Amino acid sequence: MSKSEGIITLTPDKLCLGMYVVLPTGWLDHPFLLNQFLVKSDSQLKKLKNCDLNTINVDLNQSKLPANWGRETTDLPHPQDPKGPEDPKDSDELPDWNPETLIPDELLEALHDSKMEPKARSQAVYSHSRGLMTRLLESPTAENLKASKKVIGSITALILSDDQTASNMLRITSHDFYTYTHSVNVGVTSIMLAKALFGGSDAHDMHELGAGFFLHDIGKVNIRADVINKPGKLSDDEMRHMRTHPYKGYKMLEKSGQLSEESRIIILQHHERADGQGYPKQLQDREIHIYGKICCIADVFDALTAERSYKKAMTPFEALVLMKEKMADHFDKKMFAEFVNLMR
Amino acid sequence: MRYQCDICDYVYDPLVGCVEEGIAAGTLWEEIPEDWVCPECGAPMSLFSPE
Repeated sequence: MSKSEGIITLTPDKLCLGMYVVLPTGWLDHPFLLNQFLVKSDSQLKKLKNCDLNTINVDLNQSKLPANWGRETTDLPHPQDPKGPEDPKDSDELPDWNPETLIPDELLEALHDSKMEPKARSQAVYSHSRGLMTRLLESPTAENLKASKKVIGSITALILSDDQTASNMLRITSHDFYTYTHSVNVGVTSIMLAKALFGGSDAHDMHELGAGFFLHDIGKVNIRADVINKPGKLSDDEMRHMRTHPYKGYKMLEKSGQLSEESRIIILQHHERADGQGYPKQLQDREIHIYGKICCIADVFDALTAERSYKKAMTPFEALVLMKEKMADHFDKKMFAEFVNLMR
Repeated sequence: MRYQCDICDYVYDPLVGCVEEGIAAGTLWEEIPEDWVCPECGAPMSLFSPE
């Protein structure tokens, strides 16, 4: 079979895992780093289906499809096989990510390619960091936490060393309601705020901190699905349960042995407020660690600018005004002033 | 009545007690010494809610 004979054209809904897709357009017309690649995850599939392409070419020679693939779509139906090929996305089971498969190749590529144009690089790092967080939230094992901590270290280093890429990342943040998007947004924003506050001081281990910021909501994997996915307002009891996520995340990272105590404090304290009205421990201002305070500001800002089923997204400006006028008591004043400065 | 920790979700069930902390099965919430803390996360009794 010659190469051109191996290429078929499908509508996006016919795509499945293991296909080697060849996208018909340039980089800017789709959210992927490469124009051709093997589809390895459900998030890639979902993105392909959402990127407004009417048809997508698939190179069968480079695809890794199960032997029975295509019998139903290209030949007459097989009476022996009434169910047809199993579509991985129909399965209820979560994929089992491991340190080998967890990190999207495109993320590593963008992190290592210092010659990449800053706008493209920030887009790639941002979108594939979300891919990483999606996988980690699906399989938050100790070894996966360890592998992600390493790559979050590289993301942190990039944000610290390359101002242009970092501010591009702030500008392109999405505002959907997914925990993985929120994790990356709060991670990036908190690192920027820490950088603004600490300057070049080496008193802070920024790599540990970066991991704490990205993983601040990891405890949500232990919150019941009916509470996490509830579209409306939570009942008192559901809210009580939801508010256990900081402690659960803190404990989870303690057990995994992957983060320093200082960095784990971020996870435990990111909902504490300077006026003592936060949770879980209702700490007073002076009892809250500066790292927890940084994450709290970034967390509230991202929650306000994100769209939810029960509310529209605010613009960054509206969110800052609301935080200043209605929530000033929640935050450390000096830190909030620095945050406003950063967002200008 | 069972009580649940607001910080970590630990449940105190009077039928079970909390033997490792010296609270025998059958001890009602009201009978637990005031300085008892959550065996899972150390939260004081004031941070428990009736389940």
